Amino acid sequence: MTVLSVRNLETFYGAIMALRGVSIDVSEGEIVTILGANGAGKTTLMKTIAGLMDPEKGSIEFMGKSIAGLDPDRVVAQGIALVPEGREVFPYLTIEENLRLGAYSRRDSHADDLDLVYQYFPILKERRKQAAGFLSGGQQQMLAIGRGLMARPKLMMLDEPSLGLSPLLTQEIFGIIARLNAEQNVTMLLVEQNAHIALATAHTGYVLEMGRIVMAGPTEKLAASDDIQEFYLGKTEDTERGQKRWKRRKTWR
Amino acid sequence: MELLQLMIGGLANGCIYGLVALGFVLIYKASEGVNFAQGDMMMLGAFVALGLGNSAQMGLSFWLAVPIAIVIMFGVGWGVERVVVRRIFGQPQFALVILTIAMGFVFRFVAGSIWGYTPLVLETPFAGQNLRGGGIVISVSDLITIGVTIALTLGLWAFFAFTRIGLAAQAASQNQMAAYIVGVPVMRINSIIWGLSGAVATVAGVLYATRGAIDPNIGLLGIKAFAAAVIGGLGSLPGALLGGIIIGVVEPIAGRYAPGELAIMSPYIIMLIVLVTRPGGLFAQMHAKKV
Repeated sequence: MTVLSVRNLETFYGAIMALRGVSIDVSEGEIVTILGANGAGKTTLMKTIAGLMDPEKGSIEFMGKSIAGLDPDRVVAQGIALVPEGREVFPYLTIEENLRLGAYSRRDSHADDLDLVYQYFPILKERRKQAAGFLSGGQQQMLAIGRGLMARPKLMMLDEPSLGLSPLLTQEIFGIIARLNAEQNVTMLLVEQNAHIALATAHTGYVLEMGRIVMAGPTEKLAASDDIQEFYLGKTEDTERGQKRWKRRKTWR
Repeated sequence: MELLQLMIGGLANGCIYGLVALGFVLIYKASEGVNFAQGDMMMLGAFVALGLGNSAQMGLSFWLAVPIAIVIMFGVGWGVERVVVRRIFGQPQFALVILTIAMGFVFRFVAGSIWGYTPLVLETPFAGQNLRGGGIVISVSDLITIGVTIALTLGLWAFFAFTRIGLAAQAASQNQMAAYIVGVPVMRINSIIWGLSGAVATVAGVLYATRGAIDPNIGLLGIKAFAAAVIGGLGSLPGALLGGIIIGVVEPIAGRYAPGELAIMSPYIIMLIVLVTRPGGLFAQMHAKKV
């Protein structure tokens, strides 16, 4: 079942066209990743879906309802939680207050969800009375993910969860992301610069370049493609002369 | 004895500065800008209470007129955010400064054209009552001013610490984008905060009016209160109150013991000293925002 379906989305920063007609689908229970270089429009896509930016054209349908142009607080109420780039926790509030704010859009009790978050991130429980600003980068990322979970979202969007984290911590975070997907059946849309780990974690992938989707498919197929191998995974094939071919072009252009 | 007497009067005065400074801080946190009409909102609040309560005007009982005035001024603050401030959202901060200065003039003109420019006295049940003891005279209105300020500060603290909306308001002031994406309706919270600051200004105005006559220019007290808010750190509610009390207490003492016009300058001298020695104010929030 398709949870999120984006069609021909166009978003502008002033006069600059950041998204040039993007279409993606996210099915229930899967992890979808969007790969792309800096400035490709990944974060813009996330922000447009979350309602932080308004699209000029195109449609965003979530669970069959159009959410394009809604305010962010309405989008959360529909069941989409964004874990933003750069963590963005509330620095002077305690960890527990940060988490409770994650459930702001819900009126029902959220004690169970708090336990669930603490179960996945025990360090947060240990430090729950401390101000979030004192946490390390990795712990803040855990807090941001936990805050997103508190909304009990039907779709969780993670923007660059590895930003500024050590390789080891990145693996830990992605391990938890995969567990959340497998054990709690959280559908996820994942934007990531680190193509290796993103392709290993996700089920389906899209490649975004200059505001356009240039490739799509199951991640195994993407990972096997020559273009992805060379331009995203950094593998070089040896030519007959044993040198890298500098002028190789991407085949989708 | 004389010093103690001066200090009690100064403390009551300082409470009023502090309450107006609280309004500055509230709006600074919500809209990331300074509302220079805060003093005029205080003045308008006092006049609304006077218009409702004085026997020559609508003649309601004092205890009824003040709550109604608070509700009306909550509406004024809420409406100002809703109708005007929201329109300039995203503009440079300077736009808000100019806008609120202009709004201050409008409030002064409105009050002047309704109630005139001759000083009026708010009729209160406790006017002119004094308590005497040990060579000190304390007016009842001073005591009420101090008591109400303490109660209101505690109330505001509880509001921000324990209520759902209070927590959301804190979140919105710390990280607006993050507040949005967890589902806090930031705009609506900002309206409530502006309303709240109108209500606090009214309490300050009524307390001010219990201690003397008012005219449409008393709003200029807002500049002193702004100094108080800066002393406290312009982002801290207890800091604002403390800043107000410092200014309130120093003023009469400087007036009695220091030469010349030093008393009038004292709030700004204190502000300068604080800005030079502790640029963040006395209660600066301790750590910078991590990027």
